[in-house]
Amino acid sequence: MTEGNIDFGRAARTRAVIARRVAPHVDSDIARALSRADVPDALLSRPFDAVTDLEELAGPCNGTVDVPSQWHATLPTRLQVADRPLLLLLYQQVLLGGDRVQQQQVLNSQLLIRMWPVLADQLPAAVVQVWEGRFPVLGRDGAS
Amino acid sequence: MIIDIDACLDPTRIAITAAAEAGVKLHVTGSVALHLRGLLRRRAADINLATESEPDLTRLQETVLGALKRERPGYQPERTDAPSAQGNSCALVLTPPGNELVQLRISWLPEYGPLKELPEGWPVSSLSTSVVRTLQQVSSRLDPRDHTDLASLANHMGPAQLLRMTRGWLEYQAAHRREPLPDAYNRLYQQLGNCVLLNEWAFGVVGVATQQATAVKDTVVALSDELVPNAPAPPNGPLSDLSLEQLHEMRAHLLMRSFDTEDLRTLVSATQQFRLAAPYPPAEVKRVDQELRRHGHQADAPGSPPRTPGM
Repeated sequence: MTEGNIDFGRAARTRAVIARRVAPHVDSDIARALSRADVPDALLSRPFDAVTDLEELAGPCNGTVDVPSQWHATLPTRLQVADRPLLLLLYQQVLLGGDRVQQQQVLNSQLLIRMWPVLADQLPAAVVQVWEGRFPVLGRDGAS
Repeated sequence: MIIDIDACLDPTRIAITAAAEAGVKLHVTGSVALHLRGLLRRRAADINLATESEPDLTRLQETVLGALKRERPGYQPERTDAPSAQGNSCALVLTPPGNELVQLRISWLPEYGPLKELPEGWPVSSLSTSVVRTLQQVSSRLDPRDHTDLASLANHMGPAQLLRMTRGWLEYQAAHRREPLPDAYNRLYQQLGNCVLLNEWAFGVVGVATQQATAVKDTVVALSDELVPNAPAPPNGPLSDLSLEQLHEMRAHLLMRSFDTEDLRTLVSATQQFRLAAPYPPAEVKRVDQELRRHGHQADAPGSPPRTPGM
């Protein structure tokens, strides 16, 4: 094996062990999603989370939204909800790496539903699978 | 937290050495690994160290923290993320000279090729791992760091080699998703193309100047355009009526200016159908045409031959 060739077998062995270690510590639907072979390594290392009720998402639907400090490296500390490209980046980050409290504070359920077609195309399939599984209204045919 | 990588190499070396003395082989991964290889010139958000073997992260975190406190007390190292419940990752923060708070993260991660030891003794991830993980990242989020890394890899190994590895990764992904391979190509094509949405501010934050950012975008878009002609042709499907250019334009202005769900659904549908089994239904071509005209672009009339370069 030389540099420039991808050794999927080597990685798959490690990934399988990591996924087994993760499973007891996350919700069952997230564990199933993390067992997918297409899950990014970063999600195995730091599994994502998801709220259990869309009504919990109480982020602003207009005005400004405060960006949690962990994303200040690539986002402003506060951004306008109307700035859709930046809002899209924030939603992606919060769906990927935010805990439930951050999701509740940042995400707005109506905006999430509206932006879902684009978010779903950018997010890892495992994240999409869990969110659409929990909230059918987000499904490609459900968002309206 | 955006860091100056060079100023963080000293504590990184201390962490690797301390872990080795405790019997754990850590290596540098992520953007710092690319920096050490001389491929990347941008600032980083954190320092990532990894081990391929299952670690005792609680003990490892203590070991590294103890070494940094002994050898560099002025850096004020502290524990931040305790090892997560599933034990795959932990982090420290410290303040090396010239930096604000820097995060040093240690993770249990797979490798996609043999680890490399650089001439200066740095153990780093394989280039294969860098390619796969960068592809995973650009497929997961829209972040200038990932696109900059991808462009750096393309410049280092050459677009042809990167495309070869990308095709291998896509085939693996498609096989495990049980989806048609063209779907995987199209998804990545769209995700790479979205880098045009990243503005100068976003690149500037990570230390990528405007001129370099333009070059990054050009490289990534060129890579994405190469992907589609390289996609396997659908079984009996003619080419789409839409050109790549039109899709680029439409995607960019819809994402930038509109969040109307119907527009987005049309966009997603259009992109997914690109080069897939069927030509556009006339109503959809008309809709795309109207959308482009509304934004001042002249679209081909429905039914006109495709004007996609190279196809």
